[in-house]
Amino acid sequence: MNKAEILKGLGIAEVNPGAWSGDGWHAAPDAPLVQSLDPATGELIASVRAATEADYERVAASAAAAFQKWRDVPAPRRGEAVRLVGDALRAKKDLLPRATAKSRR
Amino acid sequence: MIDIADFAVGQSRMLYGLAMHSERPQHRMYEQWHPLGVVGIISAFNFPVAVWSWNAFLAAVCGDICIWKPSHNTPLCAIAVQRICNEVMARESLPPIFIPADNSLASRFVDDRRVALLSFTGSTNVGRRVGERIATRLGRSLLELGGNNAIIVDEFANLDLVVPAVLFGSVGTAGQRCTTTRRLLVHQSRIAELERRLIAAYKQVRIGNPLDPQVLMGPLVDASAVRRYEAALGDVHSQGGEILCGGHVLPGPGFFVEPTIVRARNDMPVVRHETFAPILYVIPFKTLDEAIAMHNDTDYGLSSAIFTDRLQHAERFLSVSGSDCGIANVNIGTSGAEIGGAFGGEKDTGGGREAGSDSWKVYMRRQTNTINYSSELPLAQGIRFDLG
Repeated sequence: MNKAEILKGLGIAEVNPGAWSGDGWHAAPDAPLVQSLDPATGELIASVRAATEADYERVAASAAAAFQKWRDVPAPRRGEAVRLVGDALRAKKDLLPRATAKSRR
Repeated sequence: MIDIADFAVGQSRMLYGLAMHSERPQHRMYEQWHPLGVVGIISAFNFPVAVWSWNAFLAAVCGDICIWKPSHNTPLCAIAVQRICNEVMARESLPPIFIPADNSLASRFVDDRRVALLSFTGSTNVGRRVGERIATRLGRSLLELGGNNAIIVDEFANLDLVVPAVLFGSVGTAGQRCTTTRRLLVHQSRIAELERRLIAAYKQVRIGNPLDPQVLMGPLVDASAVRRYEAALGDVHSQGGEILCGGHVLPGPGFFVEPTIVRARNDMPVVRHETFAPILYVIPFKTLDEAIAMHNDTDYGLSSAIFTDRLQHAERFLSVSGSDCGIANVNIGTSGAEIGGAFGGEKDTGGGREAGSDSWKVYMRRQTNTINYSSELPLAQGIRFDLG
């Protein structure tokens, strides 16, 4: 699998938004770009539109609001949600580099 | 990530508190664990998604919501993982993320009183400042900082185990793990044979693009990491160390260096600080007491190991007068920790613990409850108020 196929499978575009707040991705058009370089080639892989203060506020406020609901979900149900995420990661295992899919420190 | 997800699913049914026996008649006392709140995660480049998952999956089953600031070097991994989470989770689910361009937003994050716990993985220099800032607002922090991990090889060690363990520990991930083997303390009777075998093994290491399955060692993360590798080897020369193999930056493209073995002394300044690169310092010793003293004579306290077939030496190393690290192993190297145990270390490593054992407790708040089901009100210490 080549690099372009991996990026496409993971939903990585040329320029990506730098903040997710639970109700959507956020990218201020004038925010600076954070570039991600491939350390094996020194070439640009893709960029991220940096989060702004307003983006951070949105993230923090939505996290605090989400907590008010999430804390009342019974713990085994919260475990079920994590199980679903684990299953989704398993399904993408071939795309995530081996080192990140199963890493030990 | 997948392993810790499985672990967290099981943990979600085992958030146990204790019940205690009250001193008072007809009283019941117990503790329960409540969700803590918003948990912040600042992760490093070397485990771009795993560190997040070790924190976030446990925090999620504990009832917390996580905000994740990934490393500047690896924001794409975070975006990819967020997209995978979004496929299965509606709102109020796992992690919001944000990727700031500079440190001012990260400072705001660290100082934000809405963030009940901040889990920071990174260098000791930055982690110390983060820990101080959070302490100022009396928040909770979980710090996973640097290491200067050593393996002791005594006169009874099985070198067939030592060679692959050291190779994996010092060359794996191009020496860019917090648990990388940086120092090799070797009994003087074994040092010639071990150096010869290690040099032979190092020469077989295939360096290149890690997407190629034949490759054992990939690049350093960026150009500044290459400069730090070169600077450390310059210090080796000026401080009296001897490079036994490796020692060169490879021509580009990419940030590749040779894995390097250095004969050194434990008190050389370059040996005492963590260089995030594949440099292994080999240091001779005569007695186990001397080896343990050198082993612990570092600011860090993350991971450690002894290779020996002698029970007394192994047990001494694991005893209170042995290794002072958060992780201490026998006949297995310093890196490659499993998620089932608590991960973390002492001293300048920061004292945090995450992943297995009872690490989940840091993501919750403990509440002690006492219930009086009698019709009396016995006060503490036998105090009596006569109200007439």
